[in-house]
Amino acid sequence: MYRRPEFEIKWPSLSRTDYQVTSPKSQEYNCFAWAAEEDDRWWQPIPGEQFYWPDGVPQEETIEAYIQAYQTLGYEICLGEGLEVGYQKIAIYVDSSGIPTHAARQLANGKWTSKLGWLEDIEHELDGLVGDRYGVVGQILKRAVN
Amino acid sequence: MNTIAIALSDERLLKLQKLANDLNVSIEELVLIGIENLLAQPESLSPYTAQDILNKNAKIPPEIVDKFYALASDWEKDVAGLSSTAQMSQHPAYQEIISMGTHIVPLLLSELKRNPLYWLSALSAITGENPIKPEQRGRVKQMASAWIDWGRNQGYAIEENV
Repeated sequence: MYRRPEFEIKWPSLSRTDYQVTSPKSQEYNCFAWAAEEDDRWWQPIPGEQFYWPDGVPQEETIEAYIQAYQTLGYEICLGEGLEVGYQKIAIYVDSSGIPTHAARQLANGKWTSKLGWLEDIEHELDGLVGDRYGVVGQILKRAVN
Repeated sequence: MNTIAIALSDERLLKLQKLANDLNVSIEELVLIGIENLLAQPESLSPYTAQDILNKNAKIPPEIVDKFYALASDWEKDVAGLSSTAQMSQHPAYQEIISMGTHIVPLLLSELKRNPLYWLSALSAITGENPIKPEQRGRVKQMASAWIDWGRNQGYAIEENV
């Protein structure tokens, strides 16, 4: 696929790392859905129940709520971001207040896949999205896969 | 005799045509029947309802429309790539759009056809309503359709070709 200069303005770390655009734009799903391997709905814990959020998980913008959301899919807290055979990983980015801003899912090749808001999906390095816009990686989760 | 001209969307014209066909009359005859019924029973259209529908569809002043599109453009440029609709809706331009209030609701509803995600939160904040069914949560195009249906049921005229 290809690189996008405008992405490197919004996420300057991309210009120093390897990445490629892997999908067209879509308003139908966001990064939190894409991390959960969904591309047909928008995940968001906004009280008022307009957007999707797993049943039983607090509707609040906290890292704990996001961890609980992915726990409903079998993910557990994990320490390392490295590729582990037999496991799939999700990285949750947080801002300086600890509020989740983004999530990425690890691919079998060790790279990560992210949906950038209503823009495109990209395949990237985890550090490529660290910066002012998404903050830093605040939590890694993993689950066993067959 | 006098002649009046009215503007109708394609969708409404088709509905009118179908009804006229079903009743085996022309569209003009059907409209005349409607007018005669209205004049014979003006109480069937309560003044409150009629005024409410007129108010909802009052032409939005051009300066308001221009302000909306200027704010929307700033917002779209700044928040593109953000993953959280909560963050998106906290943007000052978005908050200013919300503060423009109910008279931009028809504009927001019409704009949903072009960008189904953008104005869902604003509509909820302005109207205090939530027409989204549980099974539609997060399904953006269905959510936009639910809002458009809500708007029509409330008497808003929603432009077909934004």
